[in-house]
Amino acid sequence: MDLKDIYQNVIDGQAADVETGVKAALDAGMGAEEILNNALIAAMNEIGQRFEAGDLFVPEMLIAARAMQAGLKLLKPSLAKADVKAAGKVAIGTVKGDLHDIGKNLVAMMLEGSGFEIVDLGVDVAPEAFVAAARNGANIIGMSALLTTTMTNMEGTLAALKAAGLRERVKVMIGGAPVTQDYANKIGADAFAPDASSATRIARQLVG
Amino acid sequence: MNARERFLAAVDNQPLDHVPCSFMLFFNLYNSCRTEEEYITRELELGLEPHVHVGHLNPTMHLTGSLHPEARCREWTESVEGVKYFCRRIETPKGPLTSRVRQWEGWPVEGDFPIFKDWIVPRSQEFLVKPEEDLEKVPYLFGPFKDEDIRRLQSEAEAARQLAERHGLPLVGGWKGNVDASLQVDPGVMGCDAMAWLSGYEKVMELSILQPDLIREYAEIIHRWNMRQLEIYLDVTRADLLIRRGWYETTEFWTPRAFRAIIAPTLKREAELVHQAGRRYGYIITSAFLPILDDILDSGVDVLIGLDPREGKGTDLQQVKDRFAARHKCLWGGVSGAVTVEQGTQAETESAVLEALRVLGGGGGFILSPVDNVRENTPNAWANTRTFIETWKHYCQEFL
Repeated sequence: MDLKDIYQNVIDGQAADVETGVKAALDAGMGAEEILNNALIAAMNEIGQRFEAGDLFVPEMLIAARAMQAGLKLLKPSLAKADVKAAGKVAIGTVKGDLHDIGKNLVAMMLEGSGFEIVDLGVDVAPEAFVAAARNGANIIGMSALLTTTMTNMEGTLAALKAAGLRERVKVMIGGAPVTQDYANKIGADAFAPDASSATRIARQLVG
Repeated sequence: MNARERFLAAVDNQPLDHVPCSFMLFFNLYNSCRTEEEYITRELELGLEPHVHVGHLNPTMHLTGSLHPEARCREWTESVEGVKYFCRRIETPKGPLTSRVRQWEGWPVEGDFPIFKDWIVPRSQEFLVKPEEDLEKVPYLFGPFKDEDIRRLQSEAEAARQLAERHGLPLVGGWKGNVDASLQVDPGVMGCDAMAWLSGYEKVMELSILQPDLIREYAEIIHRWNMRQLEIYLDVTRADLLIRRGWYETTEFWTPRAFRAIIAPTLKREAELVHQAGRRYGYIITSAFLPILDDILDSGVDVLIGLDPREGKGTDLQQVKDRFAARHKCLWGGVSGAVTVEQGTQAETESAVLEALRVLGGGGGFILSPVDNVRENTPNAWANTRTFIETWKHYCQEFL
């Protein structure tokens, strides 16, 4: 099995076949970074492009992301040994009072598939937790909210980051059903991402 | 034309005197009313043209579904490191179904631990139905309806009929029911939304692609039960419109191919059944439906309920209107309840109502409403609600 097969199996969401392919590639002496960039990340890039073009939908993105994660799990020890740097570190969570996580999970998977290190803070995340993540080296803070009543906590997190003297150290990206670009502008967030695929593209822009 | 005639003329794409306005949901008002009659009266006092719900088949459906007589349900709680977990085991002749739900922000509580509710999903540590293992047990959650529930619905429906007749209002049934402090609005006439609650959204999404036949079979179990629900509503109520909820049947959860193969056929059969009885069939879907619009139209749905220009992903009001008008079908909605009426300004509300009437009202086939609800009990929300109604009243004939 070569990289093209791993790539296609990610696209098709075939997690078990991705694992088999990655194992085989590693056993054959291929470098973890090469497998990561040319199979896993490359496949997720295609997934993102096709999603944004309207050719592919959330369930397909989900299974592809899961398949990618299955392969990435096998690469992580080798990547750590080789000190391969992530594209950035993203701390992501659903804001305080909100338990919805599908969107957040998908964004996290897509970002990971794009080479970012992810700190998943979970759901119902208080501003303090986002601040702690910023202190611990996250350079992007990602916040999700599904309800108009909870999205106001995004502003609270921005205020907490400012109060902690960390606002300038991080980029803040927000998303979720009621969230809009206008709202992002209003509260001073750095970016609004309408979906998981654009979140990945925007995150890359934010880290430059 | 009375409100009922106008509502039906809108649904049927017939000529009418003005665009009707009937709020899909209005929890802000609903929560302060003790009876359906009070709710309807207060909506009328506000100047609205409400619809009357015929009642709810099995008001405890949310708790254990339509549990089959041969199934037994046991619930208990466990405490682990200060966290409370609500556990359930349903014994069926085909084996057990088990679930485990973490209490979060004080819910669930004893006596309020449903299987059908949005809040269950993010709290679930173990979902009740694991589709790959449990499919033959699922029919035991969708068992027969009890005579006492049918009789109760019949009684509620008669009261609803009298109320509707008194005020010249349309009757609606299927999903949601009348005002009742204990009523849970989540379940009712539904399809794959039930799957989301029982198995979690992500598992259903994954299997809809990787094992579509499994999900199709799952959908058919729910659909057969749904057809029995619809038959009962058609038989014992005078509902003009039967509504199926499909909040989780959008392309945010289903690929168009999966929707076409699994969901659309169930919509078609349900619509056919409802039409055979001379009634209309409505479908609640509020987002990401543009790629499946033709499938929805082809299925025979008479009215798409929940057209939200702000929170509805990909909603293009003009495109949706053009396609629905071409097929002489109706749209219900037009303004975002959460973003505009609850959070926006009066000027934004006025502008949104005008835009909805302008784009969607032409030629009829439109019922105006905030989507999907106005629930925030704030001075701003109420001020915007009044602006909404005033703007509608002022311009309801303008763009016909």
